[in-house]
Amino acid sequence: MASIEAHNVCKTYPSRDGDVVALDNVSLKVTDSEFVSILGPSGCGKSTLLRILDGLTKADSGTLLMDGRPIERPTQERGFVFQSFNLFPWRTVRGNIEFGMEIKGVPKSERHSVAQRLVELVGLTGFERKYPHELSGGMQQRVGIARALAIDPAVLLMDEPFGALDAQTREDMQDELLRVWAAARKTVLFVTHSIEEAIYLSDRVLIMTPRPGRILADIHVPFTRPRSESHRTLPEFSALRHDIHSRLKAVR
Amino acid sequence: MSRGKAWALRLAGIAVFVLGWEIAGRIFGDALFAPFSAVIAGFPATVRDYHLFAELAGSLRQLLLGYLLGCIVGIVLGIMMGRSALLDGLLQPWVSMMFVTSIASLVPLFIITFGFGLMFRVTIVFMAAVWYVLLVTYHGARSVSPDLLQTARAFESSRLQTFFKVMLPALYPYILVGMRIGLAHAIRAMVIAEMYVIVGFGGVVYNAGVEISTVSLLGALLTIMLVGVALNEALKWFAHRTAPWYSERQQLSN
Repeated sequence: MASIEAHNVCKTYPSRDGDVVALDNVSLKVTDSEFVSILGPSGCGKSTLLRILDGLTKADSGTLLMDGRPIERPTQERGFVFQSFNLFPWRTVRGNIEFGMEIKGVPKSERHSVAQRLVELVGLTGFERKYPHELSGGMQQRVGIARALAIDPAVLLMDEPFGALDAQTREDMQDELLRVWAAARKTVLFVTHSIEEAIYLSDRVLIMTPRPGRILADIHVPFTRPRSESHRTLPEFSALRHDIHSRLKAVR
Repeated sequence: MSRGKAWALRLAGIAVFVLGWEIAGRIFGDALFAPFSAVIAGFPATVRDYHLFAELAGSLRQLLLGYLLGCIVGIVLGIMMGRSALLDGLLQPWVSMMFVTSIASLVPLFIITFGFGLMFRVTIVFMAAVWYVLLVTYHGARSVSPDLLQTARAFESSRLQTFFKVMLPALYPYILVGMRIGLAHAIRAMVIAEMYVIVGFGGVVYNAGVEISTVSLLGALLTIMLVGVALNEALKWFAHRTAPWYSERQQLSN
């Protein structure tokens, strides 16, 4: 059980046309086993915020805390899932999943048993010895998720993990993720620009707006879990989607 | 193209070449350009009279020494230059100059400096191989995916761990390609150097030429071609076996 929080985080990037304010006084808090999405259009700074929360990028100012302790650099307390998968092409499915454990010096037999359990969890049984280029995009991201879970992080940070997948695969992967999340009970921070995806997956949706990057609203998603396809057709689901859509449109 | 068809085409290409050689040989005669059949028939005599295999074996041992040294230095310097702007700036002019310098033009200097012995032959082979290995490794090192390096960082990988678990595997296919190009140049340089000082395999070629024996000369050339192709194929096979993720994805096997 873990919480992750950001207070008054600012980040400015230099560019040819002057400084671009990526994040302007952003604060958020995600608590135990919560599933929270950061939703916003491209370039609103949501990925930057996620990378800052992991320690991959330095903030210009602000405070970052995990369970009350400052976050200074990436550690294995947090698992990161990338939009472009970033699998190691020279490692098999199992080798990729074991990467983080190798870094920590986990003994081989334990690595194998953890990897095997995760292979089964994400539905890749029979593909353990395949290389990434032999897998479809959806399967590659299953490996990406399993790799992040293999280090048993308290918090899972996911940067548009399904953004590169086709619509059908995307919906399948959303259900997969909810199933995995229910089994692993991690605190999840999920970046997306799909309104529907954010609502379907999350307990809360944080809406971000660009230039400068700010959190516009913090919306509670009332639907029960486990969620399924039928939730998408509820009138309340459509209403919520419409509400978020108009809020985003208003600031454009 | 299917494997069978590819092989059939290769064999057909060889057959056409051998036939052309045979016809040209019959026209010019043994003294000017021995036909294929005469070269094959005379091959046992060539091997006996010129100690072809013994000389070749000796040459290849020295080739191996110079080549392996060239590979080691080329790989290490290539990685260092690829990842350090300081070393890149300092060494780049020298690498560029040495890369375009003809090895044959260095032979007289190295004979003066090192004499006719092992040191000379190893140095020439080293100089022929090292720049190709270095440059290919260098370009590989510069193009290692920043995304993968960052992924390693996200998993709390130390710099040393990142080097061994990300940098080296990413570079491995480049290193093998560089080694294959380096090998071809090493063999060429070996023959040139040996012809200057009339030792080893190059000495056989030189002597056969002086004695105007085209049967032996062509027999020796055919031998070194086959050895070169065999070594290149062996490296290719090795690359395919040890880096399946690369050869299957890139089809860089040729």
